[in-house]
Formats: sequence, C-alpha cells, structure tokens
Amino acid sequence: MSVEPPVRAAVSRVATDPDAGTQTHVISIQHVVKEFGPVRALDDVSIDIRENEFFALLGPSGCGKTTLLRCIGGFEEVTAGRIMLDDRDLVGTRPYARPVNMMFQSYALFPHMRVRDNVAYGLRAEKLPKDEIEARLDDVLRRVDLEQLADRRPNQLSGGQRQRVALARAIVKRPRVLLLDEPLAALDRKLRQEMQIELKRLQHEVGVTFVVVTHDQEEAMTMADRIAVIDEGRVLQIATPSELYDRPSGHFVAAFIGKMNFLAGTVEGAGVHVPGIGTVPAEVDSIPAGTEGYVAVRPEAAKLLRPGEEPAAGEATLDAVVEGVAFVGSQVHAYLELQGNRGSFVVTGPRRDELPAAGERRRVAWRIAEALVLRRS
Amino acid sequence: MSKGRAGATRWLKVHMGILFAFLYLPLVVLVVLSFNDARRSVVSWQGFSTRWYGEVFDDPQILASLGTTLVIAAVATGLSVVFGTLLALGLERHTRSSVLDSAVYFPILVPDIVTGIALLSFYSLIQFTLGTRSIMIAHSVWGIAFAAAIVRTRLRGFDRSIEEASLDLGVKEIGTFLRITLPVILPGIISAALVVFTLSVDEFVIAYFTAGRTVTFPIQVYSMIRFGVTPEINAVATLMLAFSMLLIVLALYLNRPRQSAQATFLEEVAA
Repeated sequence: MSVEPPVRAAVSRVATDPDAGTQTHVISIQHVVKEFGPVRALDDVSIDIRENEFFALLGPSGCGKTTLLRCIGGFEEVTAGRIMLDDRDLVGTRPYARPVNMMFQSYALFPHMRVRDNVAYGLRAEKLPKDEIEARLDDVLRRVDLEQLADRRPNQLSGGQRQRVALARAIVKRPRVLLLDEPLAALDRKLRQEMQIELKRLQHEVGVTFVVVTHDQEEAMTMADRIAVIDEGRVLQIATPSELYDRPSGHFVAAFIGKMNFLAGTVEGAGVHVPGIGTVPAEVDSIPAGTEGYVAVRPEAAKLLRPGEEPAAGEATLDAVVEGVAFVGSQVHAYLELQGNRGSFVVTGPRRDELPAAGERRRVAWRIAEALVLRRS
Repeated sequence: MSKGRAGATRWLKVHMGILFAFLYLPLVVLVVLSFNDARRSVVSWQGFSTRWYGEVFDDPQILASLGTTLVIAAVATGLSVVFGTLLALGLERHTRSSVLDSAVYFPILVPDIVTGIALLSFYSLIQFTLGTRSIMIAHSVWGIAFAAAIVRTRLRGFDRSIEEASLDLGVKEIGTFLRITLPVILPGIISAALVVFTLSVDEFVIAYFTAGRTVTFPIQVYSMIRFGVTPEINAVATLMLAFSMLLIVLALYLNRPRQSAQATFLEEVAA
C-alpha cells in the first residue's frame, strides 16, 4: 500500500494511463463493441496490453470479460472496433491464423489422444520437423511436470493435471499472447493458490504476455501486473493492483476490490452530508457540491477509539454501536451499527486484548486523508 | 410377517420365471431343433447333428439371396451413416426448430407397410425400376433416421470447445472435423452402422414391396416356409439370431455413454 494515499475522485470511465506510448503494446483493443442480438456484451472497450505483461480481465460473471477474450482469440467477431496485435488488425482473421493461443476454462483436452499427442497437436499442425517437435514437447512437459504422465489419456488425469496439460498445449506454440479463461476456477482452493504462483513463474520463464480472465479479485490481485475491471460490458478502470486498491475510480471498483465501507450522501464543500449522521469531513477534491456520492473508508484505515479517547488531529469520527466481532483468518473484524443500520461499518484490527463487547457504544475514527470521496454513478 | 414376505418373494420368482419362459422358450426350441437329426422338424429328438447347417450353405438359392441382402445392407448402411451423421450434426448445432427435429425421427415410427406402399407408389410414379437399387434406397429412408438418432445421442455430450481448441492450435475447419469431431463421435457412428445393417438384413415388409423380381434373404426364407417349416429353416433362423445378437451387443457396447469406452475402442483400432 502506498505511504501517502492521495484522495482522488476519478471521474473518467476509463482511467488514463500515464505510461501510454512509452511502452510497446502487444495488443491494442480499440473501441470494441460486441452485440449478441439486442444484448450489448461489450460496450466501447479500449485496452492496451503491454509486452510480457500479466494482464487480468476482472469482473463478475456475465460482465463480458470472457466475450472479450474470445474476441481476441477469434472465436467471436466484434460488432465494431479493432483489435490490433503488433499493429496488425486481427478482425476477420480466423483463430488458426492468429498468433495467440487460448487455454479454455473446460481445458478442452482431446479425449481420444494421449497427453503427448494433445500437447504436440499444435506443433504438428505447423508441420515442424519431427525432432523439433520432440524437443519442444519434452521441454514443455518437463516445465509443467507431466513427463511421467505423457502416455495417459485425459480421463486418467486429475483436475490439476488436466489443467497443466491445457497450459502446456497452449504454451508450446510460443504464442505472442496466451489467453487464459478462468484457468484456476475448476481447482480446489489449496491447489488454486499454488497454481497462482506457478502461473506467474511460468510466465516469467517463457516470456509470453498473459491475458487472464477471472471473477476472483484475490486471484487477479495476486497474479496480475495490471487489471482491467469490467462491469456490464464496460471497462471501469485499468490499473495496477495497488492503484485499484488505493484509488478506485468509482463505487463498483471500490466495492469489488477488497472490503470498503460506504457512507452515502450529498457532496458538500468540506465533506459529504450523510442523512442522519451529518457532514462527514472528507477531501472532496474536484467533485462539485450537490453531487450524490459516498465517503469510502477501508476497514483497515479505520479504528475504534477507546472509551474517552479523543481523535487525533486530521481524523474524522462517527458514533457507533458494536454489533459483534469475528475472527476472519488472522484478522479480527468488528461489525458496527451506524444510525440503526446493522452491519453498515466494518473495522479491522482492534487489538485482541481490547476487543469491544457487543452492544457497547464506541467511536470509530479514521484519518481524513485516507478516506475517498466517490461519485454515485 | 417374514414368512408372508418369503412366500411373496417366491411367488414373484415363479412369475418372473414364467415370463422369461414365454419370451425365450420359442427361441430355445428353435435353436435346439436346428440341431435335430430328423427330416421333419416337428417330430421328436433324433440326435444331435449339424447337417442342416451344411445344407444351408449348399443351397445356391439361399446363398444368392444372402449375397443380395448383404450388398443391399452394406450400401444402405453406408448411405444412412453418411447422411445420418451430417443430419445429426446439422440438427444438433444449427436448428432451433423442434418440429424439424421430430420430423427426422418420424420415418422410424411410420408402419413398415405404409412405408412399403408409399415407396412402391412413388417408384411407379417416377418409373423407377424395382430391384436391388430400389431396396437400397428404401432401407436408407429409415436408416438415415436411425443413424441420425443414434449419432445425436453421442453429440449431446460433445464439448464444442475441443473444436475451438483445435482451430486455436492452428488446424483449419476440415482438419478439425476429421481429427477431432469425427474420432470423438466415431463410436456413435459405428454403433449406428451396426444397428442399420442388422435392421436392413432382416427387413422383410418394405423389401417385399419394393423388390420387383429381386429375392432378398428374408424373402427367400418366406418363400421356403410356404412348403412347411423345414429343419433347414431352423438352422437359417438360428444363424440370423446369432448374427443380429452379435451386432446389437457390439453396438450397445460401443455406444456406452462412458468416455472410457470410447478411449478403449480407439485404442483397439490403433493397435
């Protein structure tokens, strides 16, 4: 987390990228629209993906992220817009003529072929010399630790092993970009965490640009260099994981990435007027007074004051009633009731020896500079 | 209480025994009599003999009709499997019409005698010469419907992303069809072929209507039976029984829904 999180009310729908133009883009998605009949699955999507980047398309199910991936792979044709790969327009090119490869969510292994033949399938299609095929096959099987299983059939493999076959089969083609559709979704939790690290390592080793689709924000935050948050077919923000966390562009991103407390109200000159509470001081920045909006506070940015303790300078406070505490992993969460609204505020990290009792009246405080003001829309 | 239940169980067993006897006794009698060393099949057991089987294979009329039938069955099977598979693919992937869907299976349900009369009228209308070819076409009518139905069950569990994966890995549409789609649905196609072949070999009604002067194997048996049931006929029937059972069992085995069956089959083919 950054030391000095600047409060910023991001207005633009697509966050501007300060580095644009100084880096080489492998893929440049320009104003892509995709319609299925009356449904607009992608609405004016523009994303630049850099060389050797681990890029994540993150959003809830049905947001259009998989459709976008399939447009890059050539399995869907865009309704409008361009998809440039190394300055060549891919639109209208069949999947077999695109220098990208896809790892399918279902893995899509060929059930009638052994692991070895699954992986070599794409190399044989290129009509490479036999010894080169053998060499690359052996190399990739070693990388994903499948040498022992090379003569098995897909139905004789575990879920994790199938996933590695699918990965090997796509990677062995040495694509310009590897597209991964929910690569870890079918694995159990423990294996998923191992594979997050594994995928990252593999990406480094083979030096290929990865574009991963996921609905799991933790997964995206762990693996990706940059993330595009997508909702209802639109790109809401493109940023690094820490930027997304510290400076979400709006309510959706703030709520989707990590936990966030929201106080809804009307923006004023010195804060946000929250009905029933009054004006909560905040750095409003450039948002005009009268706009509907939120004060947003991360649970770990807030703390409970001890009875009688006064807030420090530059801190905002609210009166609250403690509803209860819960141990979430290694952390303690205190759930607070504000103005009769249960569970409306969460604070992480009250000290274990100072846990508040349920029903206790406490004040919650946070540094004004660490809170965000976000527009409602 | 338990005694009553035991009694009921015994009763059910008797009941089941009678039912199975009803179903299978005629077949057992047929098979036994085909090995009976007696001139007339109705008379008592005269000792074990395979002479009737020998006579079957010495009878030029039976052999000729068998040849005709096998050629018809082979051609009808070929036509049915090719068009039935294409039809199944088209219906599964490109049709939204349930009416069209059921219309494909209708020829299976139409009574044979209706199909026979309809084809006969149709052939005479277009002045198509009756004979081997007209029977081949007639058998393909329901053969295609059968093949489409059987291949369709195989396609239902088909994960189309494996075709996309093949395209993605650099193989064009035709190559993808030949190397991915076809091998995966092959067990369904083969089982369709076995079923259509079996049905065609013993099909009588439609063949009788559309045969003209051609004599198929069932027509030959029918004409022989008019002079009484001979032991030779019992032998012929037993052979047909064994043959159809073999093909049907094979078809069922191949079209088992499990993926491993498919893998095993392809392994056998590869070996």
